[in-house]
Amino acid sequence: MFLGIREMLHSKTKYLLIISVLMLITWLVVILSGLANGLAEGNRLAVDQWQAEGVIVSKEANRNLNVSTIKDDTTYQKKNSEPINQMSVSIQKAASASNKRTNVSFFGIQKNSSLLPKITAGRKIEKDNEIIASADLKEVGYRLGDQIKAGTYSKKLTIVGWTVKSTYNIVPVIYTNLETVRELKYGGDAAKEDTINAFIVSKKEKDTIPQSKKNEVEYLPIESFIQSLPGYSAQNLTLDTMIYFMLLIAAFISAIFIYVMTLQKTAMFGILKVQGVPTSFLVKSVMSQTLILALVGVSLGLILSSATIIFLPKSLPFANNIGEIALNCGLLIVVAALGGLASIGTIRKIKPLKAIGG
Amino acid sequence: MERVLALKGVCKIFGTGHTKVIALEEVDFSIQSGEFVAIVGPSGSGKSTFLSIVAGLQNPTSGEVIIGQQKISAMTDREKNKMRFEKIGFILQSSNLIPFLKVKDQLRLIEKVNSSKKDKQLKKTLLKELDIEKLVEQYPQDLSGGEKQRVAIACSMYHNPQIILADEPTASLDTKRAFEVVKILAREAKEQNKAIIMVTHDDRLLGFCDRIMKIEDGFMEETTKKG
Repeated sequence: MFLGIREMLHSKTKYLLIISVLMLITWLVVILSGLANGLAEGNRLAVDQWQAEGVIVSKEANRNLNVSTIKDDTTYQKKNSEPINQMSVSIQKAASASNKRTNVSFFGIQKNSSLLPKITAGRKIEKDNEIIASADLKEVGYRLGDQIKAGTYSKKLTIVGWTVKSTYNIVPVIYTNLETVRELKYGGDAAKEDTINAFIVSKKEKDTIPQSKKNEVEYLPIESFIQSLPGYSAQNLTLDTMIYFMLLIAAFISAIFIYVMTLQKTAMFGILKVQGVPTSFLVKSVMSQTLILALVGVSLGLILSSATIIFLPKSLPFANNIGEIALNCGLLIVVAALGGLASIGTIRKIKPLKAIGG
Repeated sequence: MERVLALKGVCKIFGTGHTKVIALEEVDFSIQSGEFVAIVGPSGSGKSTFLSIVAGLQNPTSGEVIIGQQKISAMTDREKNKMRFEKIGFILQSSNLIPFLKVKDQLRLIEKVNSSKKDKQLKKTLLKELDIEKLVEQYPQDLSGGEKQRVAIACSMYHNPQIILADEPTASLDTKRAFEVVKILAREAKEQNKAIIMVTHDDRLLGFCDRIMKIEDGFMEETTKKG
């Protein structure tokens, strides 16, 4: 500690440079993980709001809610599961002259369904063609009581309530009853009567999937369902890979810096070794230096990130996860410290003999 | 007066065959506490090899080095390190000061390595005797050559060693400063009862020493003291 701290105070510029690099890496990692979280949340928020254990989809749907079709007949017990219809469509205000359209995802659910998130304003759905929309739509100009047109659907839909923010596939969710979504999807096709997209299972039991349907449908635990959301895993993998690479880069930067600093101090370490200063003392000094650099760099990075987050535009899907930030920052400190370890061998190998010209 | 260091029949041979170089040949040497001994000789004569063997930084090819009661050859590297820290002080050619430590911290470093070495009284005495009290807040870069060597002497003595090895301590100094430094070394040997071995090639300094050993082509012999 003693040697390390005094050296840093004496050559401030050098050490400030490495601190600022670590700070920038931390900043990038925090922002990237915030974006990754925001995007992930945008994809799955509505699914999380179901608080479900799993989903039943038809086998040929390849885990995709949108293309799954199930004939909702009496063989399904529906003790702990309820049907859902889903359709992605674009909407616009019926009364508006402009053609401004917004992409949304319709969820058709039962009356008094537990799948509906908390209603913040308005009322529940009482009849067909009434909708409750995610709070996001307020931000793009929709108001309670507005009449909207959805896709090519001929009837007008009325906003009768707002839920808390709810998104699926990064678009706002509109909740309505099963029939409205069915009509939106298939028109008035009588053959599609009782067709639903999936069952959302709140508690899995033995007979959740009836024996007679085992060949037609499959049960997906909610986490595998989320992982199979279109684009979800690919997107997370991309951003996570970037974060992991940043961690790797941080390790290398600290390793290279500490190594170069160690080489610069070879003569000094030699002299100290001649005087009988044990190698462990020198190693401790370098390691404490690395740890302090990492701690200060990461802390400054966190401060910089907090300042940045205030100024991020609202349209950016950004969500902080304190646990994840803590984990990433912890990892950053660990890898930076590990980088310092790379120089221990060099310190050990320094020959004291050189210092007295022998 | 007690014998603190003895070399018995020490040989050091580098290389083999055609490249064989005999750096030290059958060197017998001993020094007692309170003695100030100079080692002289032309460059390449084996002076540095002698110092490094005394310090346990190199093993002799044959012969025995005994510090206090202990044979160095029987020690592990860790024990040699400890022995150096406990028993030997070093003053090196271009001063062994750490560039980023203030003078007071150069001394504190020794306490940090081993807290049992903390000795306020000794520190005070050293700062006063070496006339560096006013320099404690300075960095080595702000000191003159003579001041640096005085601080280096203080550091070499602060861990209270029995032996001080000085490797050309006056090499970077002008005559006046060189005399000053050597005088201090001679005084410390007597006052603090240290055994000091100084390697030098500067004949003018020898008047301050108790004994002068000359090394030439690996052979060591005592020469008569000049003036």
